[in-house]
Amino acid sequence: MPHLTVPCSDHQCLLRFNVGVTRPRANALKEARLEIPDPRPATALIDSGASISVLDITLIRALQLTLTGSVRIHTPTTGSQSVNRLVYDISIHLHHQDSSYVVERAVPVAAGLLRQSQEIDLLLGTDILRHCLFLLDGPADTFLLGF
Amino acid sequence: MTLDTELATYQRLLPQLLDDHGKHVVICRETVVGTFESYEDALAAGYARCGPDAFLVKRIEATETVYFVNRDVGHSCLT
Repeated sequence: MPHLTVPCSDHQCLLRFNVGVTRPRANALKEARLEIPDPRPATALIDSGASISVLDITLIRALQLTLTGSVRIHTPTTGSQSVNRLVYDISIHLHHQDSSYVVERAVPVAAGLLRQSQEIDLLLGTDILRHCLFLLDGPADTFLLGF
Repeated sequence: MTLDTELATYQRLLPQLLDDHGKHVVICRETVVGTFESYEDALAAGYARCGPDAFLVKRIEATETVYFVNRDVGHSCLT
């Protein structure tokens, strides 16, 4: 399994990769003779405390995504209740550092506000991590992500 | 932009859809496009039917999964 070994940043597991529209959406845009937005660089925080991944609204707007789902979500600000959260489909492009190996995977993500308050674009949760190998080496202050 | 019509259709048809429990249903307005094993196949069918407009892909479940996020990710009305 190709993997990346990345130094932690302030004890956080941050990773840069590209986020774009999914292939089915790109095909639909092409069919409708609409422009296909280019993939955008994103900073992701790996968060095993999130069971669904969350994408910042700025990137959702930049990629001109339309809704393709809805989920119930519970966050620190929703109290004892869960709330409906809009869901979009994106493709994530992981590039291996030493080769041209690229993984492109279509995933659903909930919309959120991350960039302004936390300076990240994507909260990468266990819904994506379950397709990966994730190892945190605390003493070395590094993490490994295999995909 | 919301998916109110699609979500209402899903709730209305859920008793019948439960025959395909665990699959992904695609709903465009009030029409069920189909049910699919994988999310990717459901997306492809949704875009083939609806084009780049909004549609609903939902995993068929008797009790809807609640996802947990331990960080504050802002308010819920983001379109």
